[in-house]
Amino acid sequence: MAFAAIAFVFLMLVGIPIAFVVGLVSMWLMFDAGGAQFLLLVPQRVFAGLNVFTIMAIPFFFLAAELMTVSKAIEDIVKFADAIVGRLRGGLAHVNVVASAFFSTMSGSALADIATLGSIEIRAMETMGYDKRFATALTVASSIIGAIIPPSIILMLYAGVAQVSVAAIFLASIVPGLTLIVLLMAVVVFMARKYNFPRREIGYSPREFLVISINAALPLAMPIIILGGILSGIFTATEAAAVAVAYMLIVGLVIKRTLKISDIPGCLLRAGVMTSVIFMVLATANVFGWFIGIERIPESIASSLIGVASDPVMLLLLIVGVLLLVGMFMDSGAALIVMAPILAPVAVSGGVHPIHFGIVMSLALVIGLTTPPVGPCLFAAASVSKLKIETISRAMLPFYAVQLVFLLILILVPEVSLALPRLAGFIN
Amino acid sequence: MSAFMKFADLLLVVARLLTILIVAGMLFSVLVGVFFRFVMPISMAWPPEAARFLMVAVTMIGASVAIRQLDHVGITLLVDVLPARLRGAVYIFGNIMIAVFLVVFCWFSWRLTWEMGPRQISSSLGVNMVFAYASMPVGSAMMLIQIVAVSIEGWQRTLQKQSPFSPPSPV
Repeated sequence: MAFAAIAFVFLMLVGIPIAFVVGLVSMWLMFDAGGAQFLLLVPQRVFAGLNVFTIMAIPFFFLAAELMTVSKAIEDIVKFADAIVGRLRGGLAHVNVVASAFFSTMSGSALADIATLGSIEIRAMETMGYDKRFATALTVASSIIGAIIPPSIILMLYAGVAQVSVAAIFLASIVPGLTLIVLLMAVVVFMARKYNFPRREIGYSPREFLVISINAALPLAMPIIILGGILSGIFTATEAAAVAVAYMLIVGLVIKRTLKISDIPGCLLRAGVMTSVIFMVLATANVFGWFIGIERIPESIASSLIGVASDPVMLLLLIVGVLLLVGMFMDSGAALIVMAPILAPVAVSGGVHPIHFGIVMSLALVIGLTTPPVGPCLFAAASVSKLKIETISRAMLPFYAVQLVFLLILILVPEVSLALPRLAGFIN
Repeated sequence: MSAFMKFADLLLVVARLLTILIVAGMLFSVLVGVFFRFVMPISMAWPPEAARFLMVAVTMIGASVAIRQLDHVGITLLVDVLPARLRGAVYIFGNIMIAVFLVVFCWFSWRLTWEMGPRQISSSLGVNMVFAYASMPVGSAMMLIQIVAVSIEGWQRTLQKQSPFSPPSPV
């Protein structure tokens, strides 16, 4: 085990992608445990890890987000957000947060938010006279919403790995998601007063407002289909995601005609390759998971932690500290796949509800997307805005503070996450 | 060398085409399942199973595309500060390690496919499990080819004083 742990760290540090690091280490552990005969278990575990219907929602959500980007639905959503909050002081800054919130009800990934909305938002704010550093930092901070609000890829991964209900965890993430939106808008209100941000001077006529709303209504109906379908029990998460793709295809090809048939193969390819990258981690981690099980690793971690952290809050704080550190270096999805099978049982044995733990764990890892040294959202924003990573992360400081406060709220008040699924009867 | 790169490029096109078809097939299967449950009151067992097998296939086949496009990223924080030649050597070492994994995986998934596959019948489709398992040896063989291809391309970037870990920067 010690050799495997050292090999794991070493292989990570020489730049080998996590999926193959986990694959190599688990292969060694298998060989060590039972020789060549045990290596036959490797492809079996890989197959079993991927042959799961619930995780299929993930490729379909990638596909829906691709279709939405190509069919230019984004601009309708930005316009709609502008019609609602654009007249406030610091209007475009509020639009940035609200548009991210709308977009995240369809995409489920923080990175997709920056890649698609980021350039539009930053450019628009810059032309209106906002400080570019603030505009970029806000874009990065608001992209996190995408990873929290359902349908969220990372929460879906957690549901798959920790074997909890997708409906319950989606429901649990709604209040935290809204809280984050309110917190970010509060920062904008404060900054807008202090720096006297501009606002949109001309209001829309009721007629214009109606047209903008109707245009945005078609893409915005998608999350209603998804969430409504899942929560009412009509669809499984996977079926809902597939129906959402079909809906985007009909809207794009037939109703709005902004999507061309020739765009579709590219969308299918990008969605397939993105899926493959994350699922390779899932596949090799399932081989590793076999060891976690037979070596009773969660049990031994739990028993050694219980001595240090006796109550659930202390235990959560301790785990979150580790996760924040891991999240700074590793991709959030990969880190979740590798660590949730170890940490979720530890947390549950310490008295933390698995749904509550999923929300806290996902947020702690997702924050790492926006921090140096390895922060994909930060890097994406840097390439969109042409600002330096250091400059953006300095402008992010107030937002890092907000993220930590938000994380603390989630840890200390489990009901923020648990009240809604409990009311709906998904958990007791 | 150039004949090999042509072969790898051809295989990349095939893998991309397969990825597109498999994702489309997955979507089709799930939608057929939904359609028959709601529109026609016939419950069908095969669509979810077909879609699951296709999902295994898209992971394995798509991974070779991802390898060639450098979509699988690792932590390059440390290797980025190394001198160019050493960084290139570390890159090649990493790829050799990945290749070791892929060779072992390919061999044992091949054995799984042909030793266990013919004796197992899938529960809903009623097909031989060879079809379900086969994407693993095929996919890992394709990944192996692309690992060799990216190693060659990465070493060429090293000689041009670029990082082998990231895609070529436009000059």
